[in-house]
Amino acid sequence: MKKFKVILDRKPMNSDHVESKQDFNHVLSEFKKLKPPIWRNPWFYGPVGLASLTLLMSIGLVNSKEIANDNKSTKESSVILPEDTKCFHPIKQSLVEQFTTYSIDPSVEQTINLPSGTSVFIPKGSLISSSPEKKVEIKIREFNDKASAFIAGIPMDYQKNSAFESAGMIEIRGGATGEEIKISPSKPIEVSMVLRKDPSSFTFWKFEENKKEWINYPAIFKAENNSFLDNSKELTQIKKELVETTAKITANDVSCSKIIEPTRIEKFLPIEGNQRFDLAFDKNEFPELEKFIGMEFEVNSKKKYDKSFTKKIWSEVDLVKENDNYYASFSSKTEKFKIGVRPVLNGVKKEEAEINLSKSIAFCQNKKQELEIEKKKLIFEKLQQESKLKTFVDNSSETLLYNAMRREENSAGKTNRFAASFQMVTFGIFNCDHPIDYPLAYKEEVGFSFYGTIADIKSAYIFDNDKDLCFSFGSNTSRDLDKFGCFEKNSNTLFVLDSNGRMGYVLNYTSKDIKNGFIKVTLIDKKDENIEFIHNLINENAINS
Amino acid sequence: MRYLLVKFASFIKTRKQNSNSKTMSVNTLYHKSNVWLEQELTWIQKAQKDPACFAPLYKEYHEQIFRYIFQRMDDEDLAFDVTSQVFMKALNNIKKYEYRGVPFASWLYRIAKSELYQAFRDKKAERAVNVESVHLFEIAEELEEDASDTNKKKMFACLSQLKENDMQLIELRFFEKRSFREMGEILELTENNAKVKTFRALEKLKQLFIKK
Repeated sequence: MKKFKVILDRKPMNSDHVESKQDFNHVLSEFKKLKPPIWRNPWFYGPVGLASLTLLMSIGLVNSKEIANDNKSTKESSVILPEDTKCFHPIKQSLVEQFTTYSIDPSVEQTINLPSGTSVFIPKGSLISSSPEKKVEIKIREFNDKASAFIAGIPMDYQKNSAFESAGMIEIRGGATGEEIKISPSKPIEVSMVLRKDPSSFTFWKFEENKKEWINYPAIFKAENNSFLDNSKELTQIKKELVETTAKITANDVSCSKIIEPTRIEKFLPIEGNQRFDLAFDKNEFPELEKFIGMEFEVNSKKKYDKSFTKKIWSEVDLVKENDNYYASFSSKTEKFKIGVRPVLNGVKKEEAEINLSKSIAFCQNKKQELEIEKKKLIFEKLQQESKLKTFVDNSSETLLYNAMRREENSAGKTNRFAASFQMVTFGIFNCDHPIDYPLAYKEEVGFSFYGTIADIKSAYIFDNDKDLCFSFGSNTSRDLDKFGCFEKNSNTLFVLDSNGRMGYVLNYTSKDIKNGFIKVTLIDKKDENIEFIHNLINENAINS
Repeated sequence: MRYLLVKFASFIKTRKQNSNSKTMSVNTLYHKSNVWLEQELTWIQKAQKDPACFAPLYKEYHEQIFRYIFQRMDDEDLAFDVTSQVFMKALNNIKKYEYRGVPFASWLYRIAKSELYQAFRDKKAERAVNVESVHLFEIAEELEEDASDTNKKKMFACLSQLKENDMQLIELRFFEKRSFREMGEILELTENNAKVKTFRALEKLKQLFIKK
């Protein structure tokens, strides 16, 4: 804020003193000393002037090339775009917020950054036109105050009973050589729209132009620095829980996989159907087999073999150990036979081992059953958490997410600017709004007058000076003029438009301004028909900033 | 906020009644009769041909232009210098002046405004606001506050917090007692816009006063 010195009760200056300081001759002599401006000197148009002119022209040419190279253009587009926003009824066409046009190569990924901080990300191949090799044009306009939305005539009513209080609105259109282009549903355009106010109780909408109504649209509210995803305790907690549950399920699987039921082989028990036989061996040579009292050897071969070898007469039978595996080798004069064998228990020891094996298997099975029950619980828990996360991020989760974000911000003592992120697969107008019910209509219909003359009012608007809110009545609005009314407690500005396009206003309007059924309206001078004056009327802070 | 509008309407009325008071107003010579305006136009036409004929206009408007400038700074000598500069500029541009319903005084005020802010930009002078106690009491009354010494001090403190644009409006309207038409002519606004802007400036002053 620019400071100035405030002086209280300065000594008044006498008129005689001021008069004594008058010196017209001095002023006249000083005036005569003033030299004519250089461009009035004929020499100016000599070599120096020509050189300057050449220099200026060169700069002009360079600039024009730079402009041509620049994607952004606010001038009239060379490509004729389809007619936009046909269903809007601007209050004053000349004052309507203009689109900024961006020339886009659809084969390249691009991001448009608007001065407000809003960004529009267009993925490669997102824009579908009949001539993919040609550039397309994207037109964007943001409505950063209620005056601009009002002037553009954007319907700000919701279901005829409510008016929208807006936190931010953007219109995005696209076209190429006069035809509308489409957005690939698989590659939606991503928009991060900066909001101008706290959206705690706001939802997101898209204007359905065919039905002329606002429909709820999925969007996520977030802090401008995009930190909410990491900062939100609630969201982080859900994510953390989900990760933990997933880890538990994996751990459960690992535990389950580690539970291996003992096998008969491990317990040196014979397997049903396998061939067994007695075999004499030197206990000194195989001391580890000493504990297997009354043991047998069981054929341990997966290969097919001649099972009649036990019926044959062998001149030599030996037990050999190779790489910790036992083999029985048989030889006679005519043939030799070698087969893998393993020692198996027999008799009492076998019975004891059978009991132990059964117990071990039962223990393992119980353990597995427990783990499976736990796993089922974890899977159910995970599904719930996934659903919670989906609800959090999808559709109507803005408020939840926002609240989580706000809680986090409050705890950290931070103040953030906000943004609404959404994906678009069709062009149109998107709005972050909060519907507020219309005031009750006055019991008796009111009339309007301009300086004592009855005015033929087409439409009337009540602006709430403290909110981005406007209640509209009359032509091109959803409520007739006979439903006109206002909230008395609010600070309001009444704005009217007559059938001749003249505009009028009443500052700080309340029902007390109705005298004998008429409201005296101040006519807006033609010179004042500008956005700055309307800003002033409806007390928007942008005025003096 | 409604009380502001009501008080504002009554304020306009009160100012009209006070407009003849010499002690309250610095521009009692602003509004002229048709005869006087015709005389003035003759002087202007003569001055357009011969700068020496500008003398009656200089004599007529020197004091009010000086007071307008001195009201906004705290350096008397510099205020006289800037005043001379204003008349020099006026002489230099008198040939371009055309009467289009806006009085000659307003044209001079616009030059004065421009020269004054040029002086501030050149850091030759510091922007100052000269307030009389009576003005502070009057504003306090306008805002439905007691005309007490405490409120006077509060109001004094609030004024220094206003933005230049708002201060300018308060200054013209409340300290110099100018009409909205005249304010509009000086600030190059319509009368309505001057009214609306002054109303908003008053609201801001009220907000600052409440917060104090």
